[in-house]
Amino acid sequence: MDVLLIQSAEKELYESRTWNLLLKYKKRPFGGYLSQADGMEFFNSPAGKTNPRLELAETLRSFFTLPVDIPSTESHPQCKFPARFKWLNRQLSFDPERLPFQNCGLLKQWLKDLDPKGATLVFASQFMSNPVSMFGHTLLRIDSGKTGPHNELLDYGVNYAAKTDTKNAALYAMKGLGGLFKGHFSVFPYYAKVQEYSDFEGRGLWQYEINLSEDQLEYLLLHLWELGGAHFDYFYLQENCSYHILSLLEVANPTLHLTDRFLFSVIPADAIKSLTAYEGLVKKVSYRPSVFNQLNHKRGLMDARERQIFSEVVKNPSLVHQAEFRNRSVSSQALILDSYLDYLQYKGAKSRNEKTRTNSIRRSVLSARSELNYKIKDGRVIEIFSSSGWGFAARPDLGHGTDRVRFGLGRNDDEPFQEFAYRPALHDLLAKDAGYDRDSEILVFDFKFRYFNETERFKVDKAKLLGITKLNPHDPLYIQPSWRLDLGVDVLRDIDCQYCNSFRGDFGMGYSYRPQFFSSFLIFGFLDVESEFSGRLDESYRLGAKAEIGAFVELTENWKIQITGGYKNFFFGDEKDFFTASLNQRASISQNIDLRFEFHRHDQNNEGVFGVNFYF
Amino acid sequence: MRNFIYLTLLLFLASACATIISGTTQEVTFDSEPQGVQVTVNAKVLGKTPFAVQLDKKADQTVEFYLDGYKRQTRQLTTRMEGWFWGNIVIGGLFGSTTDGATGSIHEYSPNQYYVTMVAGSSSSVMAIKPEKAKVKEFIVANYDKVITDLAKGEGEYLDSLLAILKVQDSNRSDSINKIKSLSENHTNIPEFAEQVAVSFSN
Repeated sequence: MDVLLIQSAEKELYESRTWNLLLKYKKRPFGGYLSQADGMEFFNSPAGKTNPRLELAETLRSFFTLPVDIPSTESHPQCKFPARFKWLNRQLSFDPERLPFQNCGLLKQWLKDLDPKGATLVFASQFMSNPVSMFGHTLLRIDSGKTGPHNELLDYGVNYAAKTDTKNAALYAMKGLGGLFKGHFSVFPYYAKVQEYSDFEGRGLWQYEINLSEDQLEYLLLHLWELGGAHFDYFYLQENCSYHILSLLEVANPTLHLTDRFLFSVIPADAIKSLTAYEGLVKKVSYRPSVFNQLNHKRGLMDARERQIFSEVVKNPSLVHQAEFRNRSVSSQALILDSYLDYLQYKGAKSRNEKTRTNSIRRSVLSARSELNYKIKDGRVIEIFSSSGWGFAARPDLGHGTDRVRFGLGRNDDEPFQEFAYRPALHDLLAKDAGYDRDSEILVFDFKFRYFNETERFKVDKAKLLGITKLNPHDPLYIQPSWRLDLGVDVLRDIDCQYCNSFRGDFGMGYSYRPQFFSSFLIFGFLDVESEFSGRLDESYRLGAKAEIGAFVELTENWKIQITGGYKNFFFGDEKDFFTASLNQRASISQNIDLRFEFHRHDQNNEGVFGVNFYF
Repeated sequence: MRNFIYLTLLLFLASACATIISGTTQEVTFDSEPQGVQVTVNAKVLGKTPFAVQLDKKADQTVEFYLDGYKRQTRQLTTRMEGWFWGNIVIGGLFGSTTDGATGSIHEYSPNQYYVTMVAGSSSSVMAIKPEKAKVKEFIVANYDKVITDLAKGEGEYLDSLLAILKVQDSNRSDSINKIKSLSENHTNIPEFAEQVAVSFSN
């Protein structure tokens, strides 16, 4: 034992990157270490959470424990911490005569059952009706040799999630941001997560197969075994699903620095970029479309007549047994029936949320399909290597960065100005939508400052706390309104008060329409409730409504225009009514840079800005 | 003024984190593999699977599934959160998490009908081993819609996976598909269908 301690001290093993990764130590700002793991079962030393050296010593000591001294309900430390054992053995070359190697039956059985051959990072893209889910979710899939390359449903997935104990919305948010929920790892059949994300939530799954050697993969799994009993304080922003999954990969291959670049927060889409930044780390990318995506893909394949028949079948499924339908070609019947079956699954999943839940597939439709005896190669898992995606989605790692810095030059009726803006997340409607939801916008903490040259003033132009817009363009199958909200500091733009600030809160509903699924043209209309508070208003506030219509046009893949016109009428407080208009353009010159040309008019006040956005 | 701000903020928070659980009680059916699992809510015994019961739909209740020789499963009647920000708020079903491999799993195979898979053993681990029969049944119950759709089409990923899990050889593929298809027509109760398939294909 002492020999080992001396050796480990000589090699300063407790300071090595691998030891820190295994024990989740992070350097504290004023010196010392702190492990992110929060359950005492994770440590062998009572001081383990803050003392890597003591923890290593105690861990070594624990390996010598005699089996008789272990209670029947517990495992031997060698079996509880097999990754630590493997690594320390490799560094110190344990002598089995002096330190007996225990037989870890349960661990061996687990590894045998998993039969691991590889690991895949899975990214769940945005949720149909919740724009905030654009941030995404990541989990890891362990690819098993037992099931073969085409049976990934039977593989196992690894997830890091929080156990929440409150339904209260405010507590929920506070606890999540403040790390008051406990997060833990769990392992489960991959099909269960495919069902949850892809079917129930309508999210496409991007699968990034990672290049790991057999040895690296073993480390990953042994470490996962160690983590089984541990829990961590779950922080929405920092120590979330992506952070912990990336940490697992770092343990597998300590030369990877996947979590270092994240200063403030780990957004899942950025986690993927961490991986793709390493050349050769990602072997293959494939896409598993959600049921809704599959349905839309099929609708895209139909001709106008078929689309019409499909909507009739949706209203009256018994049509599929009638002569008019049966007389169609087998392939046409199959396309419509398969679409209807997709639709039923989609609807069944959606209605899980509602009070009235429909039972899923009708036997009659199944037998109609069965009688056709026709096989279509439908899109199961599609391999996407290029950025063009699959009609509905482009790879998340090909999207613009989540942080945005902006420099601008502008002019209003009176003087020129320069502007600087920063926003940590996430995506606006005019930006290039590759990797994001085309019809959603989320802006978090968007701060903009301007310096006016003639009056020599430096002012806050905008401090938006949160802005969300969900367009939900018209879909005959599922009609939903558009909605948006906006909260934050702004400027009273229609009033000449030397750019005085106000606090605004707006909420609006409306409708959007796109002629066809992939159309580059969209029109929208909104009716918003607007409230504005400012010391510079006579009554200190104004409250009213805005009616706005507008359109988005994508002229090319990299050039998008937005035109809007609105009418505001404040009925309460400082009463006023006036018109607004804007014309904005975005030209993308690379994945992470775009140019903006903006013109705005508020009542009699005009301004024009040329801006450059850098995303990272 | 101030009240308006508070109201707006509250409305926003409430709508962003809306949970879907509503109503007071709900008739719920429990079935399991193996059967005979004791189900308790807040320490009160409700029955042994398979059975149906009226469940109080308030949150923060603990439902436990207990069977001698198997790991006890504990579920909360509450929401579960994963991912980023308010990204995923679980929807559908009364139980927060459907799968937690270490102690077993629970699937809602039909509205308010739950199928619980128990895992043998008593020590804690990341994932314990399920016997083959339990795996087969769980797959069928959890993915029923997909399986019968693939059966109707004569092909599909879920059908392939089912055949793999049943260890069907390529030479027996079409016979096996026909066998499973006729079983699905004769047994419309989902857990029963799963049982029949598992039994028919066990060697």
